[in-house]
Parts: sequence; structure tokens; C-alpha cells
Amino acid sequence: MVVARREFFSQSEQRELDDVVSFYDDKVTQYASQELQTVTLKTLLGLGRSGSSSPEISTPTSGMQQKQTSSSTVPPIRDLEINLDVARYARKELPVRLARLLKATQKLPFIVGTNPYIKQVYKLYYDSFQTLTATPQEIRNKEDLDRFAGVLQTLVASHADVIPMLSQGFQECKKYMRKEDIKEYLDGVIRARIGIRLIAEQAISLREQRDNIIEELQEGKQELPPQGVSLLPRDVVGVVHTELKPADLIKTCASFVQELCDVNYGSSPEVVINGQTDTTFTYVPVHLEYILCELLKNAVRATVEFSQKIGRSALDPHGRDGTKKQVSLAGGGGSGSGSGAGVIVNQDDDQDLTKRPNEFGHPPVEVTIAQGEHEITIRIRDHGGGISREHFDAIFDYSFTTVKNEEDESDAGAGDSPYGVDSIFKGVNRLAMQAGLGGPIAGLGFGLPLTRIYAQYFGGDMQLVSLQGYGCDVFLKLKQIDETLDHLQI
Amino acid sequence: MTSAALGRCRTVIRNKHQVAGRAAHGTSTSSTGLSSSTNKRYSHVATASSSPSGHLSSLQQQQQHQAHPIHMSASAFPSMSAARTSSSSSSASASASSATASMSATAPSTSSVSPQTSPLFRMNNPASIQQPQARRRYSPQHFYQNRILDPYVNQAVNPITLRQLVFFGRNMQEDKLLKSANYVRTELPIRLAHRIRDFQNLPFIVGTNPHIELVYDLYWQAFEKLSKVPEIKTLEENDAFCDLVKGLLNDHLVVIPQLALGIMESSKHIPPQQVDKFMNKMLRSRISRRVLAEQHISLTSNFNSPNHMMSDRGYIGIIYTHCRPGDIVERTALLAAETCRQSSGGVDPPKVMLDGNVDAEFSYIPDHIEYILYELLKNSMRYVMQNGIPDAKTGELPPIQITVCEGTHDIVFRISDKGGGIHPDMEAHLWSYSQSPARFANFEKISKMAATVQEQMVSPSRSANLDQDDRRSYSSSSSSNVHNNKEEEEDDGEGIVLPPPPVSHQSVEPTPLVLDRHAPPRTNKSSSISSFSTSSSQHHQHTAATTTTTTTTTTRRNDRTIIDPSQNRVASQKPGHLDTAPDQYKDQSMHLGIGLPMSRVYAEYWGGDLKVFTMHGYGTDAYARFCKFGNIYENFDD
Repeated sequence: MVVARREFFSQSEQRELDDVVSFYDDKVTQYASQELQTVTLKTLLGLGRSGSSSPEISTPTSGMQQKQTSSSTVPPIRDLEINLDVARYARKELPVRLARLLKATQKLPFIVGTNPYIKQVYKLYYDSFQTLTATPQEIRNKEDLDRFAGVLQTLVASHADVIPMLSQGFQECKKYMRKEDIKEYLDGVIRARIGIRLIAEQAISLREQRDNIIEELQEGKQELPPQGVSLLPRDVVGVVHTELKPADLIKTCASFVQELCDVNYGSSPEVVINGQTDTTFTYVPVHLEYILCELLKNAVRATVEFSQKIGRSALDPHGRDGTKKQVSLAGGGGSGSGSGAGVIVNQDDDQDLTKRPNEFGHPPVEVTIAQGEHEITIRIRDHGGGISREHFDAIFDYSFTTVKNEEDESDAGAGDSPYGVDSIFKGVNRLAMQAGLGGPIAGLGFGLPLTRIYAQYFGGDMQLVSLQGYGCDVFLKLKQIDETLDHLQI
Repeated sequence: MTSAALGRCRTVIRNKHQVAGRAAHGTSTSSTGLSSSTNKRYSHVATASSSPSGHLSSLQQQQQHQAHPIHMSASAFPSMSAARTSSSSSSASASASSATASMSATAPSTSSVSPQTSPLFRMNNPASIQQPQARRRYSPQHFYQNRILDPYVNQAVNPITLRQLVFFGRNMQEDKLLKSANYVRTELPIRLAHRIRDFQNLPFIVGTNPHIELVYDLYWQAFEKLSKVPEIKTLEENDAFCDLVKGLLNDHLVVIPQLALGIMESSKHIPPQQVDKFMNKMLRSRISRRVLAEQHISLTSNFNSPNHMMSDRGYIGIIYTHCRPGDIVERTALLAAETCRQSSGGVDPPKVMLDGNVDAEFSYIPDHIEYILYELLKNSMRYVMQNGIPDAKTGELPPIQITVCEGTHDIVFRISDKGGGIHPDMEAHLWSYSQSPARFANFEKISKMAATVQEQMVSPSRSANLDQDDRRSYSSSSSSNVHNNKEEEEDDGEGIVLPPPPVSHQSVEPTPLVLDRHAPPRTNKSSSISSFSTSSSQHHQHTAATTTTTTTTTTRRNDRTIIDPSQNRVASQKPGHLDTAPDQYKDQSMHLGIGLPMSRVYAEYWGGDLKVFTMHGYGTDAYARFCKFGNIYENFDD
């Protein structure tokens, strides 16, 4: 297991793993008992972002300052302040959240805590906690910010492998803990993890964004806006996009998934996008990307496997070609196998299109986007035979299979349903891992439970209906997070 | 209740023994030694004890009126075991004597089931003094009555499966029929008792709501009658029992509207979750009792019909063993389209497309599925007609897509519309009986509700049902079409387009919307013809005409361009307009707000479920799942 070396490690932190859990160290307890400052999205978007775009808000001093600095192509002070605010918030909040995570881990049964993988995870979080608390509390200027952002970056990078480690750890520990307790712990850890990453990444990405803009300004690529106006682009604020177009993201994810499917199975179904395809909303694209990839993977894989099972591929009774309104993707391109399965944006809402099988006999996966008053609903329908009732109850359970765990794969495929308990798109998951895609963390048999946690993170939800012998309908409901800006807590 | 009041109640109870005894005195020698002085005291105390409920006097009167015929039939019933000679004049004595006779097992029951006086009623109706036996009133105040209830409440219900009903109902013999009768006889009081106890567990204030109280009293009356029935040993006794049960089924048609109103009025006194739980229990139990009762009645009438071996292949009681999704969807779609057309003043509802395993065959109670699909389709159609964006080229509303999926254990109907979805505010209360206070307001306009599709039926679909030969041949031809279609196209369901049904019959029947017409349980096709005819002829004078015209309409179902001038007549009827005649025509599409939760109760009853997922701004998908083997026990709360 790779544990990234941190430049901020002090001598004392180079201890052996076993020393990490020090019984007499009550620092964690201290922090964990602090109140969580639930962050609202508004905070992450830079507090008074709306204020920053209205010039009169700027105080005279900042206006002055800006005037002075504008000649030296330094962006308005306002943006720096936003960035500093987020960083300060992160500095204060992250140790508390990490401490809570550690605390929860400490409450695991002792035998689980001695598992090397679990211990490793604990150490990772403990180190991060120590590192963070060791950094100076005050973040006053750009230098402080840069240094702090560096710390955060290492922290985020070092946690990349946490989910596989947890997965392996609990695979080994599942006989020592009740299933529900494991689920409760993992749900909590993953939710906390999403929050921690979101805060950290927002701080990092705001700074990067700002640096890029400064660079562009210095290179004269961009005009300095009028004073007091934020330099940040209107549609992207750190990790949040305010004009995210789900159809575009679906297209990207679908063609990625189709490619994986082609590699694994030699063919893949079309993906038809219909409904309100031109709608936009505010969301965190990495989250949505992860969710969509996971769900589309399931749908595409189920379709192909069900085709094989019922001989759908061989039949293709229609033989109808042509007249397909196929929108070739920008950058998507055909896959190596030349199957030509693509993503179709079905703006006319052509019923026929959603049913017609492609040349491999695979009926398309239908993705429908609906723009509601307060929410976006994305429905993904496949003709993959659905999930049998026996398996359905377990689809949101953690199944603890990891990339490393090759020998487990044989018995994992026991369920003939692709949504089977242990076999959620494993092969492709591995590829997704290698490709470095699949969102901030790869699935690894955690696919559906993780996806649901992501969907629920901003108050949305994900529900899955199985029509056994036919297919699955997944309803992904996502809140318009800018509407709930004020009270939405992270 | 203070101790003084308690003591008073005890006195009342003691005196009730005596009143019962006096009632029996005329004919039975087994009177329980009473004195006239206590009788006087009884009436005095009763007056005092019931005076707080003076504000309910009008209601009580109403109940007396309602209770009266019930009482007659009930009191007449036990005497049948001996000889069917009792007239209404001697009913009191008959009832009393039979109570005495049958009470040997449950000694305290005599006291609690004895007639009670309602002084208010007596004041208003002096004549009733001479007939105290005609006044029965069971209300929460009569605490000690519950002694009779308790043993029943403590008994667990014996749930059954659909499959058991099917197997049992095959090759009906006399002994089996009697066994069935006795099962129903012992089971119904237990199930009723559990619900009565649920009423009793409501907050006291809710129990005093007139609507709730009315239902409560109905339950008590039914419980009392059923629990008194001795073991059924002959076919004649069984027939009498069936009559009793039929009467009860009829009387209880007011239950749903009254319950809904009561709940609506009481919503500030009970937390919503409790209301929902209570209502679901009530409705579920109601279904269970009706299933038992109707199944037995149907088996009996089938057994009694001379050629019962010949008729109704596929029907076992109310269960149809060849339910086919295609047929069911077709029937309900036609009906729902008709409803929507009429309520919208003649606007054509959207098309309904059907694909999937339309030929799957399974055993079920068709009424249950039809009720659910009808409600769902009606909702879908209404929303599509409201919000649906017509196709740019054809101008047609976006069709409603029904997909039938057969899994290893179940059949799922997915009903998908593009009616704009449900607003989140409304979605939150989709299944609630109490969240929106005015939800059931329309129930004030309805007196009876069976919660079956039949009550919507003066429409082609059900009428088509009546003409058996016609329907069979029709459906078999259509099914073969479907079948071919499916074989050719495998999974790519091209679907059958169900054209909106023609409306020509409206010329014959200007107001085919009868909500409160109680269609007796469909026992089998032949009997349903007769029952349909009789009940129809009470309200309309032209049943035959209806039947014939509707038959022709179904045969012409592919004719999609019928626009009948009579539509105007329908259109001129304001939707929601109410006739003054209380039991006459209502706007059948009136939004009652109970369709969806009721549908879910139906779906869950035999182990299925109903889920609704909405995409606000686009449309709604509903998934109704039914177990196809019928091997799931009744979904019961106790």
C-alpha cells in the first residue's frame, strides 16, 4: 500500500504504525468533541459571491488597493479574500472532521482495529490530522494560503487509496462485525470523506483557479475586469459549476463507459439521451460524473450480459439500419473495436429511438433528463434483465471486493445478474481505476452504496427499480444546489 | 372517568342484562329474574349517562334509521337456523332467544349485545318506546361491552393465500362449502374485533367525531351479528349466512367516505403518521374481510347455480386463474379513457401503448389489479391532458406507455407518462391520508364507495365483460395479435395502441357516471350480469340498451374517429356538478384523494407493492407489482 510521504512530517511522525494509536493521546478526543461547523454551499462558493459581483460592495480600501494593484496585474483583493475565507474555514474545520472520523474508527472492535488495512487507514487519517493541526492557525496572506494549499494537496493525494483499503480491510473483518455495523461505519466514513474532500478541494481549486487567472493576466491573455468585479468565471467556482449541463456530462460518461464495454465485451448498446437535454444546473461535476459513470456502467453491462444470456445479440430480428440520428461526440470518437455504439441525443423525443436495438441486438440505454422546479431528475433505463428479488435487497450493501482480490472474483460472479451482490461491474471498475476516471474514488464493489451517498450528499436521492426479466430504472434526483444555498449544509 | 361515573356505568350494564331479559321475556322462559323497579332505574340512568352526547342527537337518529333494516335482517338471521318464520314484529324476541341460546359458550356476551336504549331517540320518537329492540347503539361510552370483544381481539387472524383460495375453491362440494362458510364465520368477527380495538385506541376526541363514530358503530353491529352466528351445518344455513354477509357488505359501503371525512376532520388531533397507519390498517382489513366474504358468497352462488360445472371456466369465486396483463390493461385503459373524456368534456385522452410480457398468465383477483391500474391511468391521463406537450407534427398528446414485465415471482406493470410530473410539495404527501387537510373534502359529496372498478362501470369495458362470448372471442383474438406481435419483435415491444374508446353509448345513457352504485361482488360472469342488471335498472331504465351498445363499441374498438354528438351533452355537465338526488349520478372523476393510497393498499395486499417515481417537469412512472404465484399470505397488520 502506497502511503505518500509528506514533506511536513516531523520527526515524531515517523513512528512505527503501531505507535499511531496512542491510548493517552486525547488530542483526537478533544477535537472530535468540538462542534462541527456545517458548511453551507454559499460558504464554499465564496461567501458573498453575489456581493463580489456587484461593485458597490467593495470597501473603499479594497477598491483603493485594487486600483493600485491593477496596474501590476494582480487580481482584485476580493477574490483573494474569498479564497482566504475558504482556506481559514478549511483550517478550522478539517481537523475537527478528521478527529471525528478517527474517533469513529477508534470505536471499531479492537480486533478490526488491528487489521493492517484498517490500521493503515487510521494512520493515514491520523497523520493528516496531525499535519493539519501542526500548521499555523492564521492564514493571513497569499503566502500562508499557498503553503496551506500545499498541505491540503498532499492530504488529498494521500487519501486516494482509502476506499480500496477499507474495502480490503472489511473483507477480512466481515466475520468479526455485524453487517449493519460495518455499513453504518462505512456510510459515516464515506460521507465524512466526501465532506472533507469537498472542503479541501474547494480551497485548492479556488487557489489554482486564481493563479491561472493571474498567469493569464500577466501573459495578457485576459483583460482585467472593472474594479470590484470578481475575476472568477461565472460558471465555475472551484469545484462547483453553476451552469453544468447534465446532457454533456452524460455524453462524456456514456462514451467512456461504452468504450470500456467494447473492450470487455466486444460490443455495447447505444445511449439515448432525451428529455430536457439543454437544461443546466449548479452542481459539483466530479460528484455527478462519478454517479453517472457508475450507473451507466451498470446499465451498459447489464444490457450486454442480458443480450448474451437471452441470445439477443444473435437475433436482431429487425435489421433496421440507417436513419439513426447519431450525434457524434466531440472528442468521444469511436472505440477501437469499431462497434460504433454512440450516444444519441434524442431531442425530438422519438419513441422509436428508445426501443430500437443496435446492430448487436442491444436495446439502447435510455437516459432522460427532467428539469423540475427545485431539482433535476435523471432517469436511466436499461433493458438488462433487472435484478432478481433475492439480490435486490443487497444491492446497496458493501460487497468488499477490491482490485487486489483476484481470487474472490470467481465466486463473486455467483449471481447471474450483473447487479449481483458481489459483481458490480468489476472488470470495468478495474479499468476505470486504471484510467483514473470514475470520479474522485473508484467503485470497487462499493459502486451502488457509494453512488447513493454521493447522490444524497446535497439532499438528492437515488432510487432503483428492478423489473425482473426486463431491466432496471434508476431515478437520480439532484437538488438545484444553488437554490438551497443558504441552508444546505455539507 | 370518575369513580362515580364508573359506578354508574356498572349500573347501566347490570340493567342491560335485565332489559335483555325483559325483551326475551315474551317468548323465552329463560329470563333472568328481573324486577320492574330496576328497569325504571335503568331508563333513568341511561338518560343521565347519555345526555353529554346530546349534540349528536341528529347523528344518532341518522344511525337509528340506518341501523334499523340491518337490525331486522340480523335478528331475523338466527331464527333461520330453527325455522325461517320470524317476521319483523317478532324479531326482537327471536334475537333475544337466539342470543340466549347461542351464548352458552360466551356467557358475558349476552349482556353486552343486548339492546340499549337511546333516550334521545326515544324522546324524539315516542313510538320507539314500544320497540326498544329496534334501538341499538354501541358507542365508546359503553365500556363494559368490550368484555365480549376481548377474547376476539386476543385471537390471531388466520391469514390465507390466494393460492389456498384457488385450491380450495376448485371442485366445490357441499362439505367444502360449509367449511368455507364456517371459516368466514369465525374469521370475520376476529378481524372486525381487531379493527374495533384500533378504533378504541384512537384518541378519545377522535372517537367522538360523528363520522368515526358512525363507522365504529357499523363495525360493532357487524361484529355482533357475525359473532352470534352458530356453526353452519346445512346449505340453507349457509344461504342465510350469505344473505347476512351480503347485507353487511352493502351497509359498509359508507365506510370509506365516512372514514375519510372523519380522518379529515380529526387531522389536528392525531399525528399524520398515526393517521396513515390507522387508515392503512382499516383499508387493508376491509379488503381482507371483503375478499373472504365475496369469495364465499361467490362460491356459494356458483355452487347453487344449476350448471356450475359448466360456467365460468377460469373463475374460482372472485379469483380469475387466467389473468392476462394485456386484457386487464385493455379493459382499464378503455375505462379510464372514458372517465377522462367525460370529465374533460369530451377531449380525447392520450393514447395508451402497451408492451412487454402482455401474455403472462397468472391467478389474481382482477378487481384488485383493475382498481389500481384504473387509478394510475386516470391520474396519468389527467396530468398528460393538463400538462402534456402535444407532438409538433401530429398534435397528439404524448402517449402513456405501459410496460409489463414478468419476473420469476412477480408481474410488474410500469405506467409511464409525460404529464409533467408531480410537484415536490405534493409528492411529499402522495401517500398520506392526512397531510393536506382538505384532501378528502370531496367525500362529503359521496355517500358510498366500494373502492372497486365496478362502481365506475357503466362503460364499455366492464359491459364488454358481461357478454361473455363476445369478450372471450374478442380478447382471444386480440391476444393472439399481441402474441404474434411479440414473437416477431421479441423485446422491442412495438406495443399495441389502444385507441380511446368510442363514446356512442352516451347517446343512450347521458350520465353513465354513477359513483355510488354498488355493484355487488362479481361472483362470476353470469351472476354479475344479473346483479349488474338489477342494480343498474334501479338507477337507469335502460340496462339492456347499455349492454348492447357497449358491446358494439368494443367490437368497433379500432375505429378511432368516432366523435359522437352526444359528447356535447356530457360536456354540458359541469364536472363536479352534483345532482340533488343523493344517490344519483356524480362526477366520477371527482378527485377524492384516496385513489393512490388505496391502490397501494390493494397492491400490497397479496404481497405486491406500488411505487411512484416522479420527474418533476417531465412525467411520472408508476410501478405496480403483483405476486404471480399467489403464495404470499395476506398482508395483515396483526
